[in-house]
Amino acid sequence: MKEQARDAVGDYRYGFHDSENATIRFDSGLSEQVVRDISAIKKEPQWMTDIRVKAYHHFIERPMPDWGNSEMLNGINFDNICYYLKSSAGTEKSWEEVPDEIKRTFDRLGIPDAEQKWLGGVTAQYESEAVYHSIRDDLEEQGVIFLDMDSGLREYEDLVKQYFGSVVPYSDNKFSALNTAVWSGGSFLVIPEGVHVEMPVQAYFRINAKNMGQFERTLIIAKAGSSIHYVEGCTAPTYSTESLHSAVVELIAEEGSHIRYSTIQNWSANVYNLVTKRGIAYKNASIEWVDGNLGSKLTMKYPAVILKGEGAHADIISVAYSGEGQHQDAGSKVHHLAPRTTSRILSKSISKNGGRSSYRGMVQVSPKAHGCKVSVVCDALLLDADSRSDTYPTMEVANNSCSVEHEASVSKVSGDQLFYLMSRGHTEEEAMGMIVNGFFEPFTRELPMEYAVELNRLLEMEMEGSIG
Amino acid sequence: MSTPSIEAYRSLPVPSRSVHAWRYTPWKKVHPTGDPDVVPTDVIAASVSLSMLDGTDVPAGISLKMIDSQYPDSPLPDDDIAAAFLREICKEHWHLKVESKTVLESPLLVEIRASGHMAAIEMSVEIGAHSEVESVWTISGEASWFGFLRQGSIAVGTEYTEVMEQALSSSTVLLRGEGWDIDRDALMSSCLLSLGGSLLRSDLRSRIVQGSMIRQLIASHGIGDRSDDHHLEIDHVFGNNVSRVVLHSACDDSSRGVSTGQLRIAKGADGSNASQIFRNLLLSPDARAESIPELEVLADDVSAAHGAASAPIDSEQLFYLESRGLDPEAAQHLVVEGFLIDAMKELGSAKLIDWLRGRLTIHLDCALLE
Repeated sequence: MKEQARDAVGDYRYGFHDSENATIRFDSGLSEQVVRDISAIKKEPQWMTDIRVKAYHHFIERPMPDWGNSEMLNGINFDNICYYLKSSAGTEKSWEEVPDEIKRTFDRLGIPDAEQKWLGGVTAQYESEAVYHSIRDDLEEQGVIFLDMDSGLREYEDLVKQYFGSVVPYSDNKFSALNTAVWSGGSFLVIPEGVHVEMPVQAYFRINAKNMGQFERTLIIAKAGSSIHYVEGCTAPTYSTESLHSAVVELIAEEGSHIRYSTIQNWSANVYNLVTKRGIAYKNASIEWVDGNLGSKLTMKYPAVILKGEGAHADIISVAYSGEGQHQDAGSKVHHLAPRTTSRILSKSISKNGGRSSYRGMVQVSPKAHGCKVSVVCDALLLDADSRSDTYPTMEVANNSCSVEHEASVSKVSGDQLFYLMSRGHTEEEAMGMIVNGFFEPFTRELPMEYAVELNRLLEMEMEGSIG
Repeated sequence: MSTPSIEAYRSLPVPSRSVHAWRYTPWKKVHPTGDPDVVPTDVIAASVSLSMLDGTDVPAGISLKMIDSQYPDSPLPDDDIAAAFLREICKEHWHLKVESKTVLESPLLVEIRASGHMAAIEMSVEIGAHSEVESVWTISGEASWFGFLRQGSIAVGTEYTEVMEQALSSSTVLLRGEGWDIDRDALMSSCLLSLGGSLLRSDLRSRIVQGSMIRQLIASHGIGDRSDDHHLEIDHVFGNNVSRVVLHSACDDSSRGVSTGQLRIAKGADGSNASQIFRNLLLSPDARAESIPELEVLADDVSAAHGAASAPIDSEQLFYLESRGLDPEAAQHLVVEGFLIDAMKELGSAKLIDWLRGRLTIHLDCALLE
């Protein structure tokens, strides 16, 4: 079985798994009762149960998207997925109290080391629930709220009620409806007015069980003049059967605030990664999505920013790497609703061994968005004749005082570059690795150093054996 | 190929907005009755004539005839709803044929005139091997609705250049479908000057093979509430070929320019070089521009690029012209003229560019006087 799984998903560093030791595991399949049971276990207020049930019905009634990779999408068997699995009795504040099997997993992923060295706070989610959570004392004293989403709902119900679904309503798309119906875990983060969180906070999401669905819900509210850098990482073990990750992330950047949201998605190649991420930026606020997609079988993720206040800014940098059997359908969306808003989108993708990368983007400029500026650049590298790259950008401009630019190119690695590096003594494989790392450099330089080093190492591993 | 039955059209689903080619101009909107279930039978055949642009006689080896058969294996697929509809309603099928090894000194002139409530015409164009041909096409008339289906082939080693002026009345709805096959080592350069009509939807598709090249250049001027929607697809079926798409759309008043396109490079089509540029000049606060330039690349040894830009007139250009004594309106017209002519510069025929420039100048002068 193990060999079969390896064949199915290839070599994957985080493909180990620990034995499942669930305290609660629902049977596979989705029904209204499952949705109500999840809500009941969490002892949620009635309004949340009602939203979940409405979202469930919307999910059932809404057809699958008729765009994108329909063949892969239609391969998802929703009846074969477990929608709730709890492996730990509660969320621990001390690493020592985390159950041994789970602690072992996160130790292997290097989470405790990272926390000690450079993080302002950590949430580690294992299956459906957060198992470990901590925040530095000085941030807590400044009033920063950093909780897992379930605790956030319990402790700050009014705030959650006000903002939950305000950026991504359940009716937005089929998978936001699914997430709203069965969400569990995720982060709830509120940065008070004027507070600048200097060290990044991190959430780490791990799917360990087979046929598991992870549906975390993240809500970040940056009050006026504040700033935060949130980093998330995702891994899953290597199984021959498929898992589903369908998250919703909502960001609210109030006047003059700044949110940077960095993701390194490295799910194993048996995970469907169907995520809705969106932020609203008010006057002079800025939102940055720094989005790296390396793993998963099919990713459909288009981080979006709604520029609602004058002078707001969006920056979206994304990279995608598609190997054998993978389709990274990623992109970005920016809606300019207010005057003098600006946005910059940079997308880079590499396809190898028959992998497929798609950029799907949307830029909308409303009639009121006077003087806005938009720049979109997409570059794609194809490393062999079996791979594929697509670009599907949409630009809708309804204002005559704005400037919108888009450019894209698809090419292979330049023979001159390879020749130059090999003439300096590098093997062809090393040279190719260096060119790929250089191609992704605009992305890696935006990451915290530890992440950038890790990403370069991952890319080198992915590039092994790519020559010849 | 058998004649498609009325069921062939009716069996096709009405395309949804998620199909980019139909995102901005729904099928219902360009259907002559607005009801997709209706296939009108009272469509009048548009008139077509062939002459030489310099007034001389049409040389031997060139003919324009009405024929019975339809174009086989068209680049316009059978499941394209517009093409299926046009095949169904067109009562006349005209065939323009240029024999092999024809070299023309003067361009052909093909004039199409659409009159009446609903008019339509289907044409096929066959340019024989190893020829050098230039042609000028004009489309005019006051029909309320005009359907134009044109399919053609450019044979091995031929160089074919054409320009088309679309100057329908300002209230005409135009539905246009075109499909071209460019054979080995052939070159097709085409330039469309789109000036008339109120609601226009054009679907232009081409297939190119080894050693061939296609240039598709479009200049569109929108005034009033005109909506001009162009969908362009180029299939690089085999490698070592070149495609160039340049579309310049100047949108004034509450007009809308739509440009969607797809460059598709097939698996194994190495050595393909494809580029697609959409530029929109927004001249009024109510003008709109929508662009979706798409690439699908399944071969690695290729060069494929696209770009799109939407912006107002550069204020420095206006300032310069006004400082030379032009009033603001004349200055804007001069910039618009330059912007539209810029789309034509890759055509490769000075004679045809001059002809188009003349037509554009008349159109803009008339617009300035209104």
